Amino acid sequence: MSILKFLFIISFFYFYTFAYETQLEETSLKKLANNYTWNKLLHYKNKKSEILDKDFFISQNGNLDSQEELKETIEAYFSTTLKKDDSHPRCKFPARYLWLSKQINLPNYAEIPNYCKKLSKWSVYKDTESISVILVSGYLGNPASTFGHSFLKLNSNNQNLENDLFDSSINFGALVPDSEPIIKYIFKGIFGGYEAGFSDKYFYTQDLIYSHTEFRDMWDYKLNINEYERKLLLFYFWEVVGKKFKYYFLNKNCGYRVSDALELISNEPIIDSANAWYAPIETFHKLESISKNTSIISDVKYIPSSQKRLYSRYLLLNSIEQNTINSIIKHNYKNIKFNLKKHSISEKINILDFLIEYEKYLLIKDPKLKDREKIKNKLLLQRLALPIKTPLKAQIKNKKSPAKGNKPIKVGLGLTHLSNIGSYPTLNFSVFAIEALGDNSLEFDELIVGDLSLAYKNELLLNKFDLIKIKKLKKETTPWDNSSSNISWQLNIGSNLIEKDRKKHNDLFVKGAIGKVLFNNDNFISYAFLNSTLHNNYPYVDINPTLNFDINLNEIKTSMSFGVMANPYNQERNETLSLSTQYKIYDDFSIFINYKKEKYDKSSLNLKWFF
Amino acid sequence: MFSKTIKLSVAAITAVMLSTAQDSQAREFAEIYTECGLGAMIAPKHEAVAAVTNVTWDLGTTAISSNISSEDTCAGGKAKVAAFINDSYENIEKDLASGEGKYLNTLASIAKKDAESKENFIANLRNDFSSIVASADYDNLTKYQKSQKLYNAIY
Repeated sequence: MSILKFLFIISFFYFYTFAYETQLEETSLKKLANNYTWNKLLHYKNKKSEILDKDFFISQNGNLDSQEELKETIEAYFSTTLKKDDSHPRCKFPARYLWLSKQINLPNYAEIPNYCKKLSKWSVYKDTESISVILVSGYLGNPASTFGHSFLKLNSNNQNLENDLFDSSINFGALVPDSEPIIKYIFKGIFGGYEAGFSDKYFYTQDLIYSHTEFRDMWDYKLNINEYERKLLLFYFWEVVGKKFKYYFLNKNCGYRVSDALELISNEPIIDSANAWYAPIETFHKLESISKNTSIISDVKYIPSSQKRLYSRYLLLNSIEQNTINSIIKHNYKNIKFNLKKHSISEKINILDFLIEYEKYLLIKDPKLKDREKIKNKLLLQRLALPIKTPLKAQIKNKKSPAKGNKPIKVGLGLTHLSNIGSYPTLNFSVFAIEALGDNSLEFDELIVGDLSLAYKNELLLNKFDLIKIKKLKKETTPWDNSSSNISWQLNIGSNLIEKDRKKHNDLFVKGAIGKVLFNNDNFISYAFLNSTLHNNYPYVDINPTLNFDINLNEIKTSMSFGVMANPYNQERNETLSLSTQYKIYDDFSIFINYKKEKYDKSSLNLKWFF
Repeated sequence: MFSKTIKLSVAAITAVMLSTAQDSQAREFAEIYTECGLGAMIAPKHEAVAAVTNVTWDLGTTAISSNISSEDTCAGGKAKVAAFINDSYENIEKDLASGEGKYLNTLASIAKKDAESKENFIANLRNDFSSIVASADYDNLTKYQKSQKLYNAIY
């Protein structure tokens, strides 16, 4: 065979092989481009990336064409012309290449190439031994935090650190300019006027805000994930932190983005639906649901707020110490020296430790209290003159995660009877319901949004609509709590179908109440409310003081209210009575019975399904 | 006379050096404070929006939190300690009073020298902190000034 023929045959086989491989690559490329994880890594939704930054993409149309982006990502790996420094795609997008290394052959693949200086120094990658998702409780003190918050925590194995305050947290939030007017803030938050993104901060910044400033509880859901999943998630955060998304308060919020990240390593979707509304707690409802069949959650740890720790610390003191504290606070520290004299060193330490924490608590609630700052400084001096002693460890009862209760959306069927009108069927729906009698109840508190009940009695009727219904009971009361913080309150705005003069009427109302808790324990609470309601019909105003009892027997919860109603227009006095019982048949299904007596009687029987 | 002159000169030089050292410490905290943006509050100033903490003002990886390097200007080392003191002053103050607590333990773990025990670090810092709190102007100090004094007590 001549040399030319030999060379021709060799070249033929070489290019044939190469062409065959290219054809395979094209087929594989398309399949990979449609892969669920690849689309997750590009943050695709409805065939378009939700990331706004152009530099997140290697290809020109990477935000719209996942195949083009995949092709250029692979080409970058094999490129001999791209600069080998931190700007190289292998340094910018380590999650993509980690995933790709499991799908195709990447010769000499290393998770972190040695020319990726910044990524090499990223200690979070080396130090993170597990990842947690943190649920922050709802905060009835302000509207936008009402539905809770969530973020991720990268748990470090760094032996030099005493605790987790320097663990990294990955938090999604909107970029809001300083001094933004509140109306503009609400409008832009709802209608996508803000950009948002993930930021990484030390966990202590979250602890300071949520536990020590807003006094919110947290639950730490530690994920049970393998090494590959852990690395993939960490690299995912490396890629996405600092990139911008559009922010929508109702559905593309922190909860949605946390769930979106978790879907990278979950075998089933976390987000069931987020078209109109997605509350942070939904991530955790889904995790609880998935954990029934797989061990996706390794552990759930309750992190009580600093306010809870303060109350618990008080309860740890003996009665003599408590009496001294109450006396000192009552007399505004005028008699502190006299009061402390009779105590041992150990008791003095316990008392001063508590008082310092108490004054710190008051100053957080109202930083303008300059006098309290001076009191606190004097207490510091007194305490510093005494020896170091380990403070009493508060024994705080483990509080069940809200995600272990009912899911927040509710639908139901019912039968209602209205005096002199008769009975009629109802169809009920609520956008967000944490009911006082529900399985996800906030210890007898209540938050219900958009609760609609439609009825049919010869015509379609609005049986009831609660735009918003909030009940906040101040349960922890101690002698040293100032009187304003002991107030319980209630707000209800909506519409109710009532009977008046034997006719049906829609009563539009705004009802407010203030009151006080009289007694409470884990299963029982009694409280008095002074209710005042504005109506769209005569009488336009009524006052209704009530005595209330709520009982929690786990599967069965009952609420009773007794009162008298009067109005400024006439001498009418009507006794009011409300009795409600809810029984949990099984997870997410309950039966509810209610009887209400005012100037009319209304009773109902409802089946509820929570999802 | 001559030895008296020398003694006075040495004393003067020492006084200048000490005051310069204090100044350089103060400048160090101040430098970190400005260069690393410690002045940014964790939550915003606007009261209505302040109630909402599901917002962020510095998107992306900040130099302090990136953990990229302990030698860079704002990452790790003294900058990390300065930021922690500035952000958590009230909690550290409370813990220092009792000599024990999560925030104080954390400060000890990031600020103490390797050879020093945690107990020693806390005992010494608590002593120095007593002097700071006992000073006549402590009631009127701003949070920045208090943080600076505590930082200087460590370094």
